[in-house]
Amino acid sequence: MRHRGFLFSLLSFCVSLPLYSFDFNSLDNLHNDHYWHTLLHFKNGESEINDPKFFLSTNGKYKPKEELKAIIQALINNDKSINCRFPARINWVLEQLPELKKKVVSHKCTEIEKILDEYGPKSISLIFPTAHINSPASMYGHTFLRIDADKKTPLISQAINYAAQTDETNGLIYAYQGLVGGYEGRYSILPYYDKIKEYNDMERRDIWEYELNLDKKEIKKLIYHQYELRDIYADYFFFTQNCSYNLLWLLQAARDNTHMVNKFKYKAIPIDTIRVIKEEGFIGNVKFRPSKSRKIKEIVNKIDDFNIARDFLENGFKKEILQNESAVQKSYILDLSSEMLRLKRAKADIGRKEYVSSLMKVLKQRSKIDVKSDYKINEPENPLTGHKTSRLTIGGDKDALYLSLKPSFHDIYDIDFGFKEGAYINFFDLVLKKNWSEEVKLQRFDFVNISSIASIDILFKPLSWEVSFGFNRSYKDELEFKLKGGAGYSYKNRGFLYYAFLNPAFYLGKKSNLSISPKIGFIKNFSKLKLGASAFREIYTDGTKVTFANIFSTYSISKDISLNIKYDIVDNKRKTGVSLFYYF
Amino acid sequence: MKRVVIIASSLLFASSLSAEVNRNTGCGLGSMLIDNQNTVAKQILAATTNGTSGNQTFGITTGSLNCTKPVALVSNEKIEKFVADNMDALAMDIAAGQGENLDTLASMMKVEDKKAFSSRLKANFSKIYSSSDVTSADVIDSIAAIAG
Repeated sequence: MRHRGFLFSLLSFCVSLPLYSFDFNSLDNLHNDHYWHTLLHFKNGESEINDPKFFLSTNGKYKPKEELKAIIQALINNDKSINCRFPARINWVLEQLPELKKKVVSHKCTEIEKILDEYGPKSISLIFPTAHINSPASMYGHTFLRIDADKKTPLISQAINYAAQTDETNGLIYAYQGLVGGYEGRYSILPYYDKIKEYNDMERRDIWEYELNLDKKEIKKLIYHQYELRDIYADYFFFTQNCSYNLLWLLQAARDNTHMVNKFKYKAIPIDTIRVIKEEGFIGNVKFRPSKSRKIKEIVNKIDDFNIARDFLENGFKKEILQNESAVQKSYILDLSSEMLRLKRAKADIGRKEYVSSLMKVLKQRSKIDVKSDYKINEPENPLTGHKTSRLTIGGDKDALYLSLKPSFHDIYDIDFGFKEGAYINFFDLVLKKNWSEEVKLQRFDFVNISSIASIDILFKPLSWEVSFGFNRSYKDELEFKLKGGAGYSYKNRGFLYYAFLNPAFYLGKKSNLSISPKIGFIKNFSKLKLGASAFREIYTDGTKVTFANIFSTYSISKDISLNIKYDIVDNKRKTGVSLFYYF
Repeated sequence: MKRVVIIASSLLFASSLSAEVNRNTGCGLGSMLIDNQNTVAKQILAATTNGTSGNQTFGITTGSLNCTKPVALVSNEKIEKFVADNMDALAMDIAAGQGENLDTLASMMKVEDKKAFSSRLKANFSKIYSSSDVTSADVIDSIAAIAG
């Protein structure tokens, strides 16, 4: 009898569960809701997520409707296994269907509630490390999110980072795979101080921190969605579905009715994604975290006699060397020494043992000086104030009209405001030419051209360099393949950046040809005006010598429209050209 | 054409993308990231990474996992990890008597008078860092004893 009673209660427990019947026809168009598509990363007819674990329905990648039905069915069946898999989806579905919510027993994921309790996220910032010193390539940069529990201790905040997962050390394979989507992109979480070490300290990049004005509810939604993606991958593409682009999905999940992802089709350059995030009204306070090299420059400026500092740095950090210096000057030289030691160690210029003992020697002396360092580092222009990254140019001179399109990013003729002066990189730069009497011709197509003009100073002597390759119409009006590059040095004085290069080149047209050209030039930026000039003499292996010179000025009419005037000399031919730059 | 463009562009990408970063792990001073690839030749090859800066290696932080535990009561896992991961920067801040790493540690230890905390640590720098082999656990114990 007792047994029967037990069995009976067991049975009744089982059958009492999924009795609720749901009318799926009542859903109407819910599966086409913008927010539902955001949660599924659904764009252009499919989800960008390639991991099957991300979908409950086998057709979920292509059919948001089936995925919605599957989630609802799982909720009706009281399937608890989805609670921690799809917390954001569950929340949204139940919000949309209050009738269903009443019937569903438990749908909370205790794990995630614990995380929210423990970390107590209060605000979220978008973090943007800008260009690497002497590496225009890094201008494209990187963005990630930072979740703050306490705004006063950002170092221990958590960073949400999206990146391609690979151990590949061969750069070419890595690059190829990155272009064709051969790697898995995944989100990861790590302490912010690790990211600062990587960018600020080691790579000497400035970091911009854009605080996002998300409220508590929105922060929670973002974290729920991030949690759904914790073990999930999507194919990673350098140009489009990259680190910065994938943060947009998280932000769209935080705030409904925002449309950012659809604005990126062929390229998603980090600064462009920040611009779009700003346009959507997310961005609040902006903070600047200067790189180590900025700090070092500032310390150097404060040192009265750099010879003494050099003596100290180069001769074993001996106390006696500084004995005649004031306490303040001592503090500057000691601070410079510890920064330089860390930099040298980061580049493996000194061994760990020597590094640690030198650092201790320096810091012991520093701890005995009662001076608080006060380094005021000037904030550069916010990258958001710069021009947009695609450029359309219409111009002409006395012989022809020119039309050119440059999808990215920044060249020597563009105003440097908001960008890094001297760091120029461009991809797929196309120039068409129409002579008054002839057909439209290809004037130039560069796959890439990069120029890194990094000035030398008292401590650092970086090599400046440039490289370009693509098709080019020569001064003799012949189309040829051109590969040109070289290196040199540059120096900045009173705001003028002077440079000198030696550039070998290889040409392949009707005949192949080699050349070498010494080149000098300068650029000077005023806030809305840029001036520049350069001259080089190209000496070809067949004995020909040609002199090229050019003077230009670009004036910024508005942020995204500039006027460029150029005066070109090729041997004895001179011409003046005028162009209008439009950035979009 | 698309293929040509892709191959051409891949030629431009560099090994710097996959950043050959060696983490010199440990609990002591000098446990920092080493960047072995900052040569001009590699830079010339470098192009856009759009953020795949190869920071995966970096992301794997050993933290204080393999380190001796401090005995001090104020300590907890978060503090241990923070000090182990930021040994050098913290030493610099303590010697200078100020800095973000020091402020962060003070907040984590719930120190009320940060000024007094900083100056006491600064005055005792030689005690905290008594040798080059000092570990993060030693540092936490000394700091706890001094701030006591």
